[in-house]
Amino acid sequence: MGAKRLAGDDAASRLEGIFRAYERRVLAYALRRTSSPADAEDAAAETFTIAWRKIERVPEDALPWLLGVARRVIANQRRGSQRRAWLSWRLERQPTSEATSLPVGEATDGPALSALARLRPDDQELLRLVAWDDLDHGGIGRVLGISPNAVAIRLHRARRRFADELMKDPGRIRTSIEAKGTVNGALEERVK
Amino acid sequence: MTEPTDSDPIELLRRSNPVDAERLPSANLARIRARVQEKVMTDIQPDAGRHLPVQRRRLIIGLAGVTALAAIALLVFGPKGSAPGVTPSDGGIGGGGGGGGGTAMCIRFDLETLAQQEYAFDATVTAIDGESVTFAVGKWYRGAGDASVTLTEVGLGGGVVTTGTLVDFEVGARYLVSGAGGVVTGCGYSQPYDAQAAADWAIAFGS
Repeated sequence: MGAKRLAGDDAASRLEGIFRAYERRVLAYALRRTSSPADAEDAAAETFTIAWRKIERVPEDALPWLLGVARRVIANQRRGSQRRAWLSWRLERQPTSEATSLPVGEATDGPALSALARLRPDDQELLRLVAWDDLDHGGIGRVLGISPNAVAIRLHRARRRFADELMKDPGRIRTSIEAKGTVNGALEERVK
Repeated sequence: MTEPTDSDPIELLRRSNPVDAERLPSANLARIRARVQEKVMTDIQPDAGRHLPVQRRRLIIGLAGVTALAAIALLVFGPKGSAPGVTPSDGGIGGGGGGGGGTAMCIRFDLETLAQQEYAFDATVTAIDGESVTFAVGKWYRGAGDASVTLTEVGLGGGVVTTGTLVDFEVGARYLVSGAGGVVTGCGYSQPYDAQAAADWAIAFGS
């Protein structure tokens, strides 16, 4: 509705600028947190659609706002997936593991990712936001709806727990780096 | 020897990032653009394609199927710069692309995107029947090579159609036309004939 209060060209220009600036960041965010590229595309498209409809509310520094929206969209997706999985289970009388498979971004191997996966979800998300989405405390706070101070405190603890988990797997640490590119490679294959 | 505690764990995690945002395939992004465009069009142009004038009909531009959606996506928010021979009104966001009116969103014309079209030709409109437009093709840049071709609003496969921008087609007028799936692509990717644009098209399609 907000978009309609702006002149059409202004709203369209704003959306175009936001899209161009952040389409990759939003899709990458979604890819790391969903179970398939298709789900990630769904989430990214929905995020920008919401941005369009609330264009007047999108702040100048749009990325944290967009990622906050994407986060809620993905949460809704997961709830939908869980409902579908439950219905499927009831219909088939057998559990379905696919619906709760690990997000793509966590499916890759490597001790850093393994250590991350052993953390609590809140810790995982904080660490992903700082390491992969490259947000500062203020940006993370806007994504999660908490203050920068709270981010700093929680991040300090999450970081310590992550280091502890890494220490449980020291033998593999030097080969930990090379999971990079796996999801991109899968996407490129999907395009072909 | 570097043990985990000697490394910055955040840096370690950063280097394990499984998704490089800068290397995401354009097709994934294009599909997202297409879907956003579809929503935007629904919001701002709900009645597109209705109330068509009798003699000067507007063909609602659409693309059928996922591949075609990806193609038109780039018309909405497409990446860089405008092509020579295409005026800003042919592709600027918020403008009516391809010489049509309306409030559709387009992005500037891009030769790279043009080159991805399934077919492209230089043709004169010989007939307009409802939402179908028949062209006498003078030159095929890409495609079947028939002397005449008819394009409709709905894709040949009957798949999903995304409304796009409008092109004014008039019987007897000459156009540069591109498209996919049996429909025309707008936003400057189909437009009234222009010699400079035609030269650009020849470059884009290597003809």
